[in-house]
Amino acid sequence: MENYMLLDMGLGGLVMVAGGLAVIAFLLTGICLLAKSIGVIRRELKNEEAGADPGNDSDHDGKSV
Amino acid sequence: MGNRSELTGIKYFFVHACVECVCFYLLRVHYPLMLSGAIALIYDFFAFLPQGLIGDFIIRHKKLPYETIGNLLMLISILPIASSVKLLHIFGYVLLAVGNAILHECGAIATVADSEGHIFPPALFVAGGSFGLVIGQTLGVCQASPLILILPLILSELLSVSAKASLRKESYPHFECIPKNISPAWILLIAFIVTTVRSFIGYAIPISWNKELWQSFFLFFIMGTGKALGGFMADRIGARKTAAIGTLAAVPFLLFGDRVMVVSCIGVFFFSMTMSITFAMCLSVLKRNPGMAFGITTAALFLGLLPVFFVRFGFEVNAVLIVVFSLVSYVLLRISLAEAKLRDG
Repeated sequence: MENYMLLDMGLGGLVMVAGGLAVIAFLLTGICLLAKSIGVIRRELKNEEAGADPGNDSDHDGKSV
Repeated sequence: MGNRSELTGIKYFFVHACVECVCFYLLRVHYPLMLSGAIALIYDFFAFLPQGLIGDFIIRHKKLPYETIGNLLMLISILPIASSVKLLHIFGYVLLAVGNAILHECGAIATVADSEGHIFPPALFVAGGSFGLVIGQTLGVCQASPLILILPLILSELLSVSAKASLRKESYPHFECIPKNISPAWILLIAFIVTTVRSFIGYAIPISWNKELWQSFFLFFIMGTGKALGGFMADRIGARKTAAIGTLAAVPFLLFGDRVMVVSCIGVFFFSMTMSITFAMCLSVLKRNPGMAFGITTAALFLGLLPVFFVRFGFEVNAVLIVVFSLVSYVLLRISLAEAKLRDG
């Protein structure tokens, strides 16, 4: 591994810890983004069911793909 | 389909091409190997995952100059990426990825807003990325001068700002390609799964014929054309039939085209056609939030490419995966897409 020099300097452990923390931060960020996205999707699905904005319904061009 | 919808699609085709040209130049100028390392993973993480939330924010707060913000972030990212301090590269790539994500969402929302219920304009927007990617990648690997980025950045800004009214529309056309007897949540989940597996398949396609630069250009040209034509065909013959072509018809060409370029490219062409279908499915559910609809597909794309960073399979395993995942995609799309209604041009 390229951190042999770092190990000789006594910094190898620090790099490993920093790398590990970065991975954990990465994962937590991903989980937060996922949770927030699911929250937005649920909100939108509820709005669709409730027909929360009747103004939009008169504007759309209903077409089928 | 009106002229405006096509015009917005064409504008954002070029915006997307410029954005990917800039991004892939900056990714490859320092790190020429495909998919190597934490840099690519970090970039893809910030470019793909937050798009839904960014799009949702754009829809709910229309006054900010998102187009300019996105282009500025990409411009600013050049400085840390060009520095000799490698840690700053990571910061630069995060800025680049977020700028990319913002412009992607601008393109998705603007093209949907002007689409009149057709999926072709958004498909045209997405297709632009393939062309820009291969151009930027080539310029980066060849270590072209970074001054060359001025042109795509200016073009991206001018074109995206010229379509700013489209991004800020108050309502969006409805897409209705899904049956009414399936829960919307299931439709979103199916679209997510299909996009994920097809993202993974994209990296499993055997292309040992791809050795020359012109072949790479041709491959990405075919990919982009397939994406655009998939949207065009979905509008004409329906999403269900287009999905059948994109999933089943592609399989033999993908499998037997490992050493034969023409065969492989036919497969890639068919394969790319399905891209717009899953987006249309999400739009059919999230009628008032095309930003989140697009974000679901990009999150799925990221999840699909994630395994490729950690594991690579041999030809035989890839072939099995292509067949199995294509069949799964076909079945899922068949049950989740409605019968086509013929429509006028």
